[in-house]
Amino acid sequence: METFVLLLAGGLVTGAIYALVAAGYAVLYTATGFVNFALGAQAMVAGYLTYAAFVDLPVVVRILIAVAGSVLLSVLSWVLIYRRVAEKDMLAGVIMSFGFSIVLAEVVQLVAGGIPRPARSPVGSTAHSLGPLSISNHSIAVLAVSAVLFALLGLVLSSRGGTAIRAMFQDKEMAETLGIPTHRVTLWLFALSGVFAGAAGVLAAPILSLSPHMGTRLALIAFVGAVLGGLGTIRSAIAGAVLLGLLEAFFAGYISSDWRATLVFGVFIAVLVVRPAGVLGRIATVKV
Amino acid sequence: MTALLEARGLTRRWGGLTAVDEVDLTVHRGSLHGLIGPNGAGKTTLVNMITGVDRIDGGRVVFQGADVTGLAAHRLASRGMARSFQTSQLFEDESVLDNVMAGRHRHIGYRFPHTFFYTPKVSREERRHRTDVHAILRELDLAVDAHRQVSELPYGRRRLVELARAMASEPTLLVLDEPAAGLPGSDVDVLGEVLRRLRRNGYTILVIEHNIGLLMTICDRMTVLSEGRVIADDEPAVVRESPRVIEAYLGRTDDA
Amino acid sequence: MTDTLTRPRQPSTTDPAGHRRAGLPVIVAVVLVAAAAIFPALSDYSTTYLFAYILIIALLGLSLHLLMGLMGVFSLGQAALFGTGAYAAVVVTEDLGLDGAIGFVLVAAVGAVLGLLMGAVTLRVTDLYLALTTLAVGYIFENVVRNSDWLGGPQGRSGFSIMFFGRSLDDPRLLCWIGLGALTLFLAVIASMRRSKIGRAFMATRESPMAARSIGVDARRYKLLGFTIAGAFSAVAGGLYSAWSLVVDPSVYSIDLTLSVLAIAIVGGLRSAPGILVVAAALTYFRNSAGDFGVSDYVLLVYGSLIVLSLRFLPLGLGGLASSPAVVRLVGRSGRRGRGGAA
Repeated sequence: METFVLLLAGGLVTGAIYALVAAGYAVLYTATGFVNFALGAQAMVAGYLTYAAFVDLPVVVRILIAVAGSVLLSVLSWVLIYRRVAEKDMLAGVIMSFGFSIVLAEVVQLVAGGIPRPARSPVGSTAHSLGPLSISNHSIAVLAVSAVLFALLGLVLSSRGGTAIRAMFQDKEMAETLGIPTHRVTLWLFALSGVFAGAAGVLAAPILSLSPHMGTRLALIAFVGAVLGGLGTIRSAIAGAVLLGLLEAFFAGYISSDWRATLVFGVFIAVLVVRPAGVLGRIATVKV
Repeated sequence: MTALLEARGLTRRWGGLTAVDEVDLTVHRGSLHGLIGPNGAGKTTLVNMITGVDRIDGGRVVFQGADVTGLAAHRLASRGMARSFQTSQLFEDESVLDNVMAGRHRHIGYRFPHTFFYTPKVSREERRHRTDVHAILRELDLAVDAHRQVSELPYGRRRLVELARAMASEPTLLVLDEPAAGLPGSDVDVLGEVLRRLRRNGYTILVIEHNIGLLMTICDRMTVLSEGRVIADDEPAVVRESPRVIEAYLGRTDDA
Repeated sequence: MTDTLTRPRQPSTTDPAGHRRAGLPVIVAVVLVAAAAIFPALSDYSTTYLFAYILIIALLGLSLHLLMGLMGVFSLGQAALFGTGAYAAVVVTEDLGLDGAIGFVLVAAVGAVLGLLMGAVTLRVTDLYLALTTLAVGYIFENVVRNSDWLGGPQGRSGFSIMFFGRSLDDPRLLCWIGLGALTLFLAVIASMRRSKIGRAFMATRESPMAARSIGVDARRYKLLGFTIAGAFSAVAGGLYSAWSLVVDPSVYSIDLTLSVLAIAIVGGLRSAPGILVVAAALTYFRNSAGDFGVSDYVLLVYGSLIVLSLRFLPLGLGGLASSPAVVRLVGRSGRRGRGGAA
């Protein structure tokens, strides 16, 4: 029982971090069909900005700088790098984001060195015991912050902006004739996905510890989670990522942690072959 | 005349909407058959069902005496049903010759290991097919452009390339989806002449058009669709007089 | 534009009845291959060693040329095939005790089967998902070999000796000749397919799947065929790599390799085999001698940047640049200018 509760809590925490990146994917994908693989690297950059770059500044300021940095990377990479290419050939744009994520990782490695370094959570890692459950301050922060962010995302999407996004996904030209400024909406969506990637980086670093290539792995696993749930809607992508976190935790806890990668990617292939729209997604034409 | 293609009771539903409703269509061997109807009448859907591109919810398709209902598009193509598309589906970055050679696919017989090591057999067969393709290109007056990239050609000539590619498969039935779409008036006449010539050379052709003027002058028989149903199926002269056709179609458009 | 259907007044300059002559390229290819075959015999040990590595990477680059350039399938599965080939070569020659002459055929067969399976899985998914599925296969295999004692676990296996016709492959010259043989074979197969029915079927599937079906091309069959061939040659590259590096460990599945091959294929031009070969040589040389110039920390940065910059500014790669209409026009114009003396 105790193990179960611990694994459940642990799975929810990693799942929440995956879900933040997955939400970043889905926000972009549902509106533009673009999958930005650099989100993981943006999270990594945000992690370094928070825990390694400006150690003298107060932590709140550092977090703000980190999230702003991720947003800036997100928007600038779209405007300067992906846009021209992705508008003609979406897939080429996606390959570019893959390349760009390597560039980010390598730049950070040159600046900060390749050795993984620990990151101390700003809220500390004091553990609390609640019956069988033992949970650290940081884990509570992860759950609370991601819950707030998802709630805010829900609010944004149920507003008028959300309608515009859905219209864009359905038919971009139609959305344009309806007077939706698709260019501007896309920019906002990249900024929004940057917020989620930044938050993921700030929250993930104390758990995964900082390393230049932590982003690549995060990007891939979050994508697997999003696909598991269904990339077609933001809600199912988030749910899928949480589900993957839980699956991973229980598998590692009860069966074997050595075979984790096989589980994650095996699940990915199985889902794509059996149910390409995702376990939770509605069957719809997959757009990518 | 024998029936080459017989569709009986074809039906396609989308949610609660019936896009094609119990349609019967018979194309006789050696005829030039027109399929017309206003926009949204279900013409392209019907053709997509017949050629295996779209799903069939009800009814049967018989082609050359065999039931081909629900057969995949590439299987129908291997049985001799070739088609062109309303929006260009050419291989843009390739030469006209290669585009049309691709249409020969089902007639090229060499297999492993010949395809992996350009053997004399491949060379011979390729040369033979290239000669055939040049004959088609000459027939459509495309020979001068054989080695140009498709993307360099003007719109009208690209439509001809698409026709050439379909012809290259030596189809028993040639299905053309709005071949005149987007062509200026003078070109429509040229196209009509090309189609008539093909028919004289023994092709069986099913043409989809909303340009009724073109079909009236060249077709042996035409089927008129409106809102997913057949409202007339006869010779052009008879169709022209049909009150239902006039009401559903001629009455509303006079651009022909 | 009124007369678009009728012929333009300026006919194209090419002979309408003629077909492209194959003579010159074949002669050039034969000369190049002969030169490459003599090269290892004349050069010193380390150059030969580097040349062998270039050949191995070039094989992988060409497999991406086939998959991405000709078939239009975005694959990140090169590492999965390469790594499996690397392990298969050790198992076949060391554990089964076979000579490489037979062993490498088996390695190719293993790669072909794996490629076929990957192709079969990916038939169900499209574009991006396909790429990630192939990438996922690599991650799974890496995980499996890491946990498998038989294959040496995280340390991998070393101390094996791969023989070929009774001679050890730790002689880099022999390695070069076998690599060159495989590369030439692969080039010949690709060139032959490109000019034949299969090449056109690939082209049709790549450019318009709908049109491909309408001319009777069974896209699934050709995708499986392409994956099988690419799998066989990628696995052979992996097997040669085992012989080259004398150790095979889970790093053969690393994303590092996938990335460098992707960079080579994109910069060289996915549609251009010569472009890929040239860039494979250049980038592999760069990577190998980066240590001498003191820039080894920048290698991956350069690869990543090249992918981004090439897609942004040179979408068809260097090979595409050479054959782009603009360049051909430019060259043609300067040629005329030279002859006629007028612009």
